[in-house]
Amino acid sequence: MTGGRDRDEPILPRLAAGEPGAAQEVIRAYGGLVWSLALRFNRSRDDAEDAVQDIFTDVWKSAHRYHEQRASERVFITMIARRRLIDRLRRDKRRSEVEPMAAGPESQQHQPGDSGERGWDAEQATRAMQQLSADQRRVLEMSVTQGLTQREIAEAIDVPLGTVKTHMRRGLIRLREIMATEGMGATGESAR
Amino acid sequence: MSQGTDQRLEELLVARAVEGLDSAEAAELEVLLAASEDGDPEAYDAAAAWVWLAAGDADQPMPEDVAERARAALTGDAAATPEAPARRVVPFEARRSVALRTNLGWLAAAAMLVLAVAGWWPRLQQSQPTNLARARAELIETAQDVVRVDWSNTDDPRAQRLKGGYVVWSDSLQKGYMTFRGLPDVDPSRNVYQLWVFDSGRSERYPVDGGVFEAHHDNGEVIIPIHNKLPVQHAKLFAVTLEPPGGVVVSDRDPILWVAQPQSDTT
Repeated sequence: MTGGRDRDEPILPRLAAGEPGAAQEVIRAYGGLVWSLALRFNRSRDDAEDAVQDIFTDVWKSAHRYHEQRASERVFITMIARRRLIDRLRRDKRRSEVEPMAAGPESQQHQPGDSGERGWDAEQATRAMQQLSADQRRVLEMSVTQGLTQREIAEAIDVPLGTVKTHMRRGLIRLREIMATEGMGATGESAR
Repeated sequence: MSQGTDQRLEELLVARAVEGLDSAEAAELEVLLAASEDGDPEAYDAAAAWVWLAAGDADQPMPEDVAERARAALTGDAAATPEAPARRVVPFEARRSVALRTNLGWLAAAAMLVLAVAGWWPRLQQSQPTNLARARAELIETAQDVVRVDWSNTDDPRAQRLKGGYVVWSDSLQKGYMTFRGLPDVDPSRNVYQLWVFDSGRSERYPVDGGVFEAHHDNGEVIIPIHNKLPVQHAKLFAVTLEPPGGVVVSDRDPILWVAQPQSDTT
């Protein structure tokens, strides 16, 4: 479901409008995405559960800001989730201890269709990443997916901090351009 | 905006997207964004989300109990859900309340306190020409259900040092601001302030976490956005406690420093 979710009618505008059932739809459609993110950012299942509550609350509060021309719902929810998870990490001062947590046995219970899919957006995002320079791609991956600070990246790859910042900024700018010009973040068939 | 300001704005947007901001940086960004004409200030965040999605694995199924808690949180019945203990909210049983220890209960005591002190605090001059002040003013002007309530202090000695302030809040927009004048400094390595919002749609035992904040080391007016962690159907009381760094998910409410109760909810 997640893979094709964004090609359906978007849920977030209906969530923002307070439509009955929209909250349940959001959780059903994106619960797997949010849970996966929460697990990656937290060391315990309890913390991940708390994070999920925070994230869906943020999604609820931010739904009115969603524009399907700018990004798919999956990208938007990933964005909201990352921001919350990063805030939690900073608050807990446990950034250096982040590591994936194995899912518990409860994870075998799930919504139909909400597992095992990598998502339509992921394929397009992968193609977009391939358009970046190797340096840009490397620093962004180290930062976003490994959780390293810009300073830590500079030390890890032995380049000046300013160089890391430049690669990162230019990489994100390039991704912005790709999203804008190719509509790869947008929903619907027209964006494909 | 000047070139330097533009650069700083972009620097903060990138930093937010990849590794987050501290409270000072977040406040700075909010001010810069309010003065900018960036039509899509979340574009960097979306780009970073793409990086994540490109590298991410397949989704893991969310356990049913977690999904149920999320559903309960979004639909406002968290307090009534067995699987939703007070992780986000404070069971308000007043173990060691200060001024508010009374058989009348928290709400009644707070209401009496509001009535007792209403009027003696000087009305604040909204002279702070910041964008937070502008945002607060816009909320007051545009939200039809906005409430504005002065803070009342408890008899905790630390509470007496506040020179004044108020809360503005809109249930429909889920948005609000706290204003303080002369907010007493706290050592951030030891304490932070935390706001709690009592919601008529939830049990009185479960106020909603409204966010943590620190003093700004000056004697002037400070404005702090309210970051409610759960939807608030109808705010009927605001309370500020002093908590350990980072805030708490379960407060012992010692001390409660300031409270604000909308007039319509004064009992």
